[in-house]
Amino acid sequence: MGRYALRVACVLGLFFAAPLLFAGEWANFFVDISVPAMCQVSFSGDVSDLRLIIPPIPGNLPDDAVDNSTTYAITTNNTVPYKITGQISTMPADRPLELKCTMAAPTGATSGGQKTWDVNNDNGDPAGIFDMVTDIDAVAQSGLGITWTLHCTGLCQVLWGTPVNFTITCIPQ
Amino acid sequence: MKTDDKGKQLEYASMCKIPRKALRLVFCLLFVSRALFGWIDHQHVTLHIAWHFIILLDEAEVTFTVLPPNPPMGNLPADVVVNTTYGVYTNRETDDYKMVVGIYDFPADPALELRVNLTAPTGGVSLGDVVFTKDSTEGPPGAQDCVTGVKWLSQAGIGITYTLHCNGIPSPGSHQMSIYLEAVPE
Repeated sequence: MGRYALRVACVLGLFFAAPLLFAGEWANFFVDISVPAMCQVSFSGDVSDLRLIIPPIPGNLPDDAVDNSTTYAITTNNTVPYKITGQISTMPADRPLELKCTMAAPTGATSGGQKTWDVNNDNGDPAGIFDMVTDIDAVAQSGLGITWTLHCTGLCQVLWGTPVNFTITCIPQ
Repeated sequence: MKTDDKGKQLEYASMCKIPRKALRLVFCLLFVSRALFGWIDHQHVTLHIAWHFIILLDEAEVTFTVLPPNPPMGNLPADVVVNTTYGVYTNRETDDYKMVVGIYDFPADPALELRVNLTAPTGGVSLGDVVFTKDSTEGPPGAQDCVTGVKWLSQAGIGITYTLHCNGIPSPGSHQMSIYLEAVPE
């Protein structure tokens, strides 16, 4: 009787314990954590009115128009240096105009200084892509200054709201 | 309790098997594409250049003093000539403008005559002496053309010659008048 009861108990025990054992195996949940290298850049907004409006003194050219109203932010976790390149879509044709941009560097990086696009340095010209900021290490920073300057190298024709698209790209250096 | 928990985990794990792979694939594609093409943002910069037509007179005030004529008597006082300059800036590239000169408060003396002669800036045409007398109409209605064909220039130091001419014997006294220069479309 005792032996029989023991056998029954063993069979029942295996019967009920087996799912638990399998359940234990199947319940293994693998959590893969992958953190790729990233470099995210974003502007605070657009420059809606880079306006060259100060009347010049006859015999001179107009003073430059300067805009400091926008900033950019950057988040990187890279282990190798990254850089930000800048490119504009187009410049008004046949005009003695220069559009200049300076981007402040985040901590530890180097600003490329003031870059100038003239009428010949448009989207179709590879030379129109400039290194705006270089040597960017892992950093998360916002409020980094952007300075736009509109400069006339000669008599500048009237422009009423001509749009220029400025594209920045963060890539490995 | 344990069985229930394990059972739930088993169920969750089996349910998440395929979506998790898909999710991983999506993230991989996302980051690979970012690595290949970089992280990009755009900023729109809108350019404005205002239209200007500026005339700048280099002397705010000129003074004429009529001197008595030299002997022999019977002559009239000599003309009094004052030379000064002006400058023009215009970024109007297509339309020709002309400059007009007008006068306010000309003296009532019929013996006095003021002649204004503007040298033309580059590309323009001077119309020579413009004459004002006490009978000239004041203000814009009496303005007279003095230079035409002005466009697209920035020039300073262009000559203006004022000549006060006596065509009779002027009465003694002092007078102040205003001369204005304006650019208008031709």
